[in-house]
Amino acid sequence: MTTTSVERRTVLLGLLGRRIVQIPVVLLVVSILTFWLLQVVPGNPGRNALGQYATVAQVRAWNHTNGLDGSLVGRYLHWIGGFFAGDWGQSLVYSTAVKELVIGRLGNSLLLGLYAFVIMVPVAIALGSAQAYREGRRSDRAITVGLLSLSAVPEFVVGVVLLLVFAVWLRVVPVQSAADASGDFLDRLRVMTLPAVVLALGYLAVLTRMVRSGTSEAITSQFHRTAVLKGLSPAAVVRRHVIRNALVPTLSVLGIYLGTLLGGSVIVETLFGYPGLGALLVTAAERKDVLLLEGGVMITGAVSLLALLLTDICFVLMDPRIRFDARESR
Amino acid sequence: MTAAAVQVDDLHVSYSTSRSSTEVVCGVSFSIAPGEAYGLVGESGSGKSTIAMALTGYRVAGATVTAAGLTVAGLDVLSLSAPELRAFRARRIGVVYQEPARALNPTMAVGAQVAEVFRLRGDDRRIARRETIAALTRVGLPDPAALSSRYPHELSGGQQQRVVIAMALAVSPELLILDEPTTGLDARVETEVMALIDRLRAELGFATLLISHNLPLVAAHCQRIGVLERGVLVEHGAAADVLLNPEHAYSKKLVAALPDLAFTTPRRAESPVRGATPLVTVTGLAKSYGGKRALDDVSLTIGRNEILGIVGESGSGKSTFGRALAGLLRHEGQVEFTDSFERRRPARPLVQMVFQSPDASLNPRRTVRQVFSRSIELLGGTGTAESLAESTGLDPALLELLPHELSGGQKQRVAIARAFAGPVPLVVCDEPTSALDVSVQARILDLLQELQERTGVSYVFISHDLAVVRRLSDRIGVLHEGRLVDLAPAEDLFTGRVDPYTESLIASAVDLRARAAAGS
Repeated sequence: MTTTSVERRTVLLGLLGRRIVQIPVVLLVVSILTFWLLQVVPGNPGRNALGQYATVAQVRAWNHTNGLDGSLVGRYLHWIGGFFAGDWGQSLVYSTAVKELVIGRLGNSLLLGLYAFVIMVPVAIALGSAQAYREGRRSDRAITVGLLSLSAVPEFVVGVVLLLVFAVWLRVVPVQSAADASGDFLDRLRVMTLPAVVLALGYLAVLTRMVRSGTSEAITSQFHRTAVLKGLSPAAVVRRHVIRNALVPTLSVLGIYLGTLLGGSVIVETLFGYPGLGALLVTAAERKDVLLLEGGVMITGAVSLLALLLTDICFVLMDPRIRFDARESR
Repeated sequence: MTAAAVQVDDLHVSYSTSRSSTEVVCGVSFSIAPGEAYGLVGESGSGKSTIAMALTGYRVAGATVTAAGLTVAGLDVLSLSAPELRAFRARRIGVVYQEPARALNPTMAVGAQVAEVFRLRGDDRRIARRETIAALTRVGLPDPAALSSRYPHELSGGQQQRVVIAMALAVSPELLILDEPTTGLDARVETEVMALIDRLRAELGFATLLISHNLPLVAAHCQRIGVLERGVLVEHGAAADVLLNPEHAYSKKLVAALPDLAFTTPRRAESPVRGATPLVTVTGLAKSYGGKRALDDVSLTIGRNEILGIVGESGSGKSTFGRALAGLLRHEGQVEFTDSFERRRPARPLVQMVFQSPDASLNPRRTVRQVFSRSIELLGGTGTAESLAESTGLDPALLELLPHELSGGQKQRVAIARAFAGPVPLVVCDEPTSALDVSVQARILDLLQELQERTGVSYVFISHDLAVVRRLSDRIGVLHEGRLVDLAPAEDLFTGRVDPYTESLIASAVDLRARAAAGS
């Protein structure tokens, strides 16, 4: 209790300290790359906005009014200054403030992502551990084959099939998931269920395999034998000696998935007409809406990095052996 | 007459897969009286651990256990129901395992793991904690209250094993099963751990079943011994008798294969110039892990054609030294090769390593031929995979096999052959034989010696086994807490004036053999 918890607190504080420095640096680099890359891709935002019949002069004038001419560095500095001051600029495509647009969509994406995550994790743990205890048996192989086939089918196919069954045929959910935020929460959840399930299915196979191998490793380990030979009941063996050790390797994947899920998914959002971040960012990139893209990328980047930080913290809490310094290996 | 602590009659254990069934224990019978120390000796695969697991009623997947009688502490183990079996394990027996680091749950504080046993007995949290601290005190652990909240990886190997012993003896079992309890430990720690078990046995009166491949160890700590060969008990009797006058051919082989501390190599006398010209100069080699000094200002030279033995306990820095030499670690200080090697063109590796566990050092998905061809290419060798196999005593038919299809000794031969695939001036052997059975160990040492004589490389031979090091080395360096406390020609170290630490190291090795011979 004494020394160990102090050491662990030191590890945690060190980790937090490092991340507080690292996260803004990573975001800064990402924002620079985004800004620059968008200029490299062909296309002209003025032309996009005004259409093919506008004259060259009109396009140039439009670009000028929207601050799209001048040097790249100057424009970037102008944007980043505004960003930190809370002015994220105007979206060219939607003609509204980027900040409101992104934050609104972020809320939707977080909700959908969390929902998918909450569905996915218990299912993966249940399936994976059940498989580990049945390793090599027919049910183990059946689950593996089923999940891998499912993950090999593209999201839009799974989504369309589910839509056909549940929305068109059984009519338990609407076809469109663009629920208005004014509806009550349960109603909103009901509407979001299908997209969340489709999202979750996409990652389920890999996660289940991770849980399976982690559990399998824990129950074939020597400390598992020690626990059994102590005379502990099977339930106590699982609770005290298996769970924690089995989930440690899964945790790293979970963190990455959490970040990805929360950042929105283009396919699922498009398919179900769900107003999330993913589709918004694709539109922004297509139409060269720099400011919208920058705002969105910064936000999804921050969400992913925070999800990873959360994972690292969980690591420290779950596994006393974790140290976050890479000094020893080369 | 009191009932025996263990009564085994005609025990058979076989492992079956979907295709075949192999009998690993064939009709073994023995008994252990209450409070008696009984030892089972055999090499890996002899079925000794399987017997231990059978006594605990532990079912390995695919194993079939049958016996005319299997009674432990008055209970017929094979007929116990699941709850009865749990109660039996919790109260009547204790087990100490080969690798304490793996036998302990890495994510649970050691105190909690010991306390579990008391909780199982029905103690409440407070009493369990008190009893845990008492149990840790009994096995001689320093500052048990603080230690109980530490995790296994924060303890040394010896401390970990003490925790496992405390756990096994927590509720005064009638039988303590020791399955290779000191195999991963140094000679000194081994002596301490075994002395602890002997003392506790005298105090608490439990019977012990000591299982080991180490014949002198078993002989020194057991009253009676059984020798197992491929699942058959080929010989049993009083400890000293078996060690000094083995009757069965296999027991004789085991005894003969023991490396002896009194062994002197004749070749050393023939070539007095060995190591005269320096090959590598090491100056101020140091390495810290976190704040801990693993290697502290080590300076020495390794001569051309020389075998330099490095001994020390685990944690003494001997492996760190080897890894630093091989360039596997960032370190402070200099490792300089003689000019002619530094300037060699094209640049080729100057150091190769042979590791303790060939399982971990060979790529499981590459055949022996692939390993050899790649090594020959990388080290600039001129031979072929076949010639390499031949020079290391490997049947060329093995070239197409994967590592898991080879025996332990064959795998280590592959790992050694790899290091000799090209002209490399220095080979670092880090405990190359400690994962092997004694009879295999002797042949691997012969191979290393032969290769050295043929190719004229220099060895740095790292081991915790003084007998092995003495057999091979020209000079021996002793590392203690990262410092080089002694460096002398091998003979001088055993006869001359040495550092007090070296003396204690030698004493504990000699002591074990002396006691084994005396037959405690």
